[in-house]
Amino acid sequence: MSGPVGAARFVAGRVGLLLGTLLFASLVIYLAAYLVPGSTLGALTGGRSLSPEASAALIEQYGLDQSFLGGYVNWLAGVLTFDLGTSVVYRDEVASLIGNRIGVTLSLLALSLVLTAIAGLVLGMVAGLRVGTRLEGLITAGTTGALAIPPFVTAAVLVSVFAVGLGAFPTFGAGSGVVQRLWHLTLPAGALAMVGTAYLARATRTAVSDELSSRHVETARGRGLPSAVVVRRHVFRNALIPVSTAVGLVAAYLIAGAVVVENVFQLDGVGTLLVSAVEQKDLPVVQAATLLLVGLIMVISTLIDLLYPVLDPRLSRSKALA
Amino acid sequence: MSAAALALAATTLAACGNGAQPASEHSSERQLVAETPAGTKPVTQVTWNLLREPTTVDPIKSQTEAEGPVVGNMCESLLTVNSAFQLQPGLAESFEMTDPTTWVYRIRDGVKFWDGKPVTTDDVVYSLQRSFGTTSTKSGSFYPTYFTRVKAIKASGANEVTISLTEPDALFNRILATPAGAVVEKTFASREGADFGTPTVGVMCSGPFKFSRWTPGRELTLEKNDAYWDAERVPKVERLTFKFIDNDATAAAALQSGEVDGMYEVPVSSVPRLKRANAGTLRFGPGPRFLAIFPTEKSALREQKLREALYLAMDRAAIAKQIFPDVAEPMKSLTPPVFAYGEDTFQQYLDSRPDPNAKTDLDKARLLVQGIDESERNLTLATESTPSTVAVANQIQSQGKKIGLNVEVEVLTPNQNEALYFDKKLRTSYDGFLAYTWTYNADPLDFLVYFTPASYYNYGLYDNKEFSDRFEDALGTYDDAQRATEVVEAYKVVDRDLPWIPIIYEPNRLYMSNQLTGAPPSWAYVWSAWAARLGGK
Repeated sequence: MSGPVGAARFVAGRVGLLLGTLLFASLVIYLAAYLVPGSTLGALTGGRSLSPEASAALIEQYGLDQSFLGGYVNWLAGVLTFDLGTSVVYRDEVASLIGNRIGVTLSLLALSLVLTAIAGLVLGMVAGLRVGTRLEGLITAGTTGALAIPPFVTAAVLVSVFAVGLGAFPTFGAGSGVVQRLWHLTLPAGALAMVGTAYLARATRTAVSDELSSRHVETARGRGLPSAVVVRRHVFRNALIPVSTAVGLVAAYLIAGAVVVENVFQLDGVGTLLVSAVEQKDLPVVQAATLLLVGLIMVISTLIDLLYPVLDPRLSRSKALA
Repeated sequence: MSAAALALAATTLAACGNGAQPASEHSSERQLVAETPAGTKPVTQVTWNLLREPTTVDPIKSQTEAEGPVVGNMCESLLTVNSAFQLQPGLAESFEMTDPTTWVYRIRDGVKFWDGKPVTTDDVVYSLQRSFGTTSTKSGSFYPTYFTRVKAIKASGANEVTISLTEPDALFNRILATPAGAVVEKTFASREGADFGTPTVGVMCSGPFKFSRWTPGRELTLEKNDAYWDAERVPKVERLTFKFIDNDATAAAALQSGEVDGMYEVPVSSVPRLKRANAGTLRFGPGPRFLAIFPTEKSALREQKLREALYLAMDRAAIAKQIFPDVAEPMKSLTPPVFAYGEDTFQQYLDSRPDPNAKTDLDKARLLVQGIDESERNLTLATESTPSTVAVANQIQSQGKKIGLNVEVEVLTPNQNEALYFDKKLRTSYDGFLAYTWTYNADPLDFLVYFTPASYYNYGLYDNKEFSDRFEDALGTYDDAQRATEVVEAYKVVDRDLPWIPIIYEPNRLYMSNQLTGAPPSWAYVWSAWAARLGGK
């Protein structure tokens, strides 16, 4: 199938898959929170004994006496109308708590993705085009090492050298205003980007070197096309598919890693909110923040899926849906 | 060279370059200091770190080291406590006992809230009722259980408030000197209702600092109150901003780099680094925070012989030296090492206790264990996942093995550990747990409240008539010297019975930038306006 109707169907199919997966994820998240041992009421009262009226009021306010399915449906209905409940710890609306913090997380993710994309693609392309040389060997060895270092270790080293040692960057905080924000997020984004860059560089290197040895490139070369044209039109364009897949995976990794990095640098983003909510058993916040992060990953995945037919018209609709 | 090797080289370089000081700076004999000289120069901005973000700034819900240091600078109580833990006038310029169950407080003239309204007896009575009186259950106050002997609170004159008790209560005024006795503006608080103390609303009080702005997750800022009633104690600091870095390594890095000017109770793991820091100084002050084993309602540790055996087998001196170097001291009694009165009496008692540095008496411990039924010689001890407390639990386990006790250690997340205090089902899956505890104020009598049958924290259900009688006696004795003797008698009983098993205590820690002075290292900071004397050198 081709043409606008087919395209619309394809997009609709993908979006449908996205929504279905999100629904399933929401059920799993709600179930996990429901099964958490220990008493939410105890967490709410902080261990003090309350009068029966006060306890009853809290139980009603937080819906602590609902059945599993009843509670889930109520919560889901709320989510669809952007009412994410009330935080047990802050006594404030979850939606506003998250709303205040999402900017920091998105800035961090955007900066990390940019750094990862640039460094990963450049290193990968250079390595892919120069397989067998010393430069390529160096890049491959470097990325192997970098893959092994977790973000919090990188973060600790970066802070120790650049923030405490040289005093060139702040040790914590997200800053406000564009310039301050960029300055504050440089080290965190760097820590987060390290592993993603290594992974993307390796994926790009493989994709590029595979393309280089393909028949159509040999043919193009054989016909005397200049190297730059060959590389640009035939190698890169086709390498974009596996590279996009890699970018999708890296984005998911960055989102998960952001939670750790936010904590180390004390950035007031959704990640630190999630960690402290888990520690304080603030279930409404845990549920909402987890759903948000899962949703973000799913949306990026879907966008990349939608990108494939654009990158490679050979992929028929039916093949893309498989 | 791979990235990993580069990283390693960089860390080594950084560690070398960061101002290592000569070893002679470290002394094994730690000086405890209660105060630092008051600041003389004005300072525009001071950034201070808290252990974690406060959940509210409402005084009636301020009971921890996260809220206290903030609220103490904003809201004033009728009485206050200085860095030597002595009771002083606060908003009450004088207080007297007209008979053993009646206290009269004369409220200072001319004191105003930040919005200019005068502090009246209406506000005082409203605040106290809200805190521990008739409206305290409705307001969600945490304090009523401390004031069970209060009968009535009323305004008895233009500037006078009278509180009558059901029986004499020697602890009453001390607890009044905490946020429990804070005076807030009646019209403001009743208008705001449940929003009072939240980030968008704040509070309305009369203290040397006023509430300026609270951005949740990021920072909380106070501003100096130029119109403060005590002209001599108007702050030198214009803006005091609190940060909430709860990650140990990040907090230490922020202190070292100077982005944060100071912090109380710096993480144990950061002490070696901060001792060597160039830009600031780490000081230790008198403080009653200590680590103990709390028995639970489950049977094993409710057996006194078992508790005594564990106490004898534990090598507390080794624990202090190896697990908490430079940070803690071994305990030799349940008596907290901070006393605001009766110093000689308490010190004499402590000196009479067995020296924790002496060799542990394993033989005696073994004998005790042999007197216990074989099936009762197993116990499970829970501990939080902090490396130091896990190490303590492991030490207890290995010493236990030497005397024939089978101790299992369960490591819990901070979340689960918190739950132990209010989740009975979780708590009783263990025989005991390691916990930090601290006296609410520097009166050793206050600490004994925990061992009374009515205490919420008496999980081991300790109930000894001899102790309860002595406790009740002391509670009714106003005379300090006399009370000290009676309190010691009560401690003799609990040191024999060991309802809790004490391990080590930590003096209070304060790290402050070398450009500032005035914050007191004494633990008395936690309920007081400790930043009023803070300023430049």
